[in-house]
Amino acid sequence: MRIKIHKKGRPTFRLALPTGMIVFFLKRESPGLARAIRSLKKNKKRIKKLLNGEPLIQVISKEGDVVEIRL
Amino acid sequence: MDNKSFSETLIRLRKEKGLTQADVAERLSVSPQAVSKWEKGDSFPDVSLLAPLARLFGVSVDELLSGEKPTKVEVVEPEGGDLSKVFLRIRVDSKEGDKIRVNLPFEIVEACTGENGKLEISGDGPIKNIDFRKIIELVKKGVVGELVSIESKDGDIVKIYAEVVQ
Repeated sequence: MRIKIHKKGRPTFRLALPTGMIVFFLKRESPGLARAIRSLKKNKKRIKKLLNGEPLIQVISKEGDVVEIRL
Repeated sequence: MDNKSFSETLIRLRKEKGLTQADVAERLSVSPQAVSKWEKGDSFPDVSLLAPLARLFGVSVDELLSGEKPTKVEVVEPEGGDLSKVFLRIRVDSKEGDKIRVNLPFEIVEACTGENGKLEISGDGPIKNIDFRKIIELVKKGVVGELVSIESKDGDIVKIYAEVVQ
């Protein structure tokens, strides 16, 4: 999964994390989220096509900072 | 469609979102002058900007171009149809100006909904009290469109759409 963090006026921080690693860290604290991410991984190709370039999650703060999570 | 009706739609949608021309320009990486020209009807945005523009206002490209609000909900498939192309789009606009956009495949929402109807990934956010079992039930019956629209007393706006992606 690709995470992009952009703080206004600062360089953009991009992170690519293996899905398995995210699932591993989440499965105790948030089993529902871990299950969801595992399911996303299984259907990655199809879901990416359906998303058509849109992020899974996008948060834009009032200050203009942006956090995006893509598959 | 002519530039004038497009410009009227653009102004209406921008004001509904509480954005300035400069805000729109910044989000689309264009100059504020370009946005001003669109709103005056002097020019039309490049076709590559239509989808980002529609996303920015939380409407479809069709609504952006036609200026007509879509019917709130419609039934697209008989019960038990293929749900693998249904996306649930959650839009949260907080009073403070923060915006959250979530695009989740329906099957993921279904997998994450607990027996209490809460989406297990919603945390303590503004969607924590929404009963997703009801939404799942509606989508399974083939209902798509704007399923939830809530304006909380704090001024947060939550909208949930079910959309069939082709």
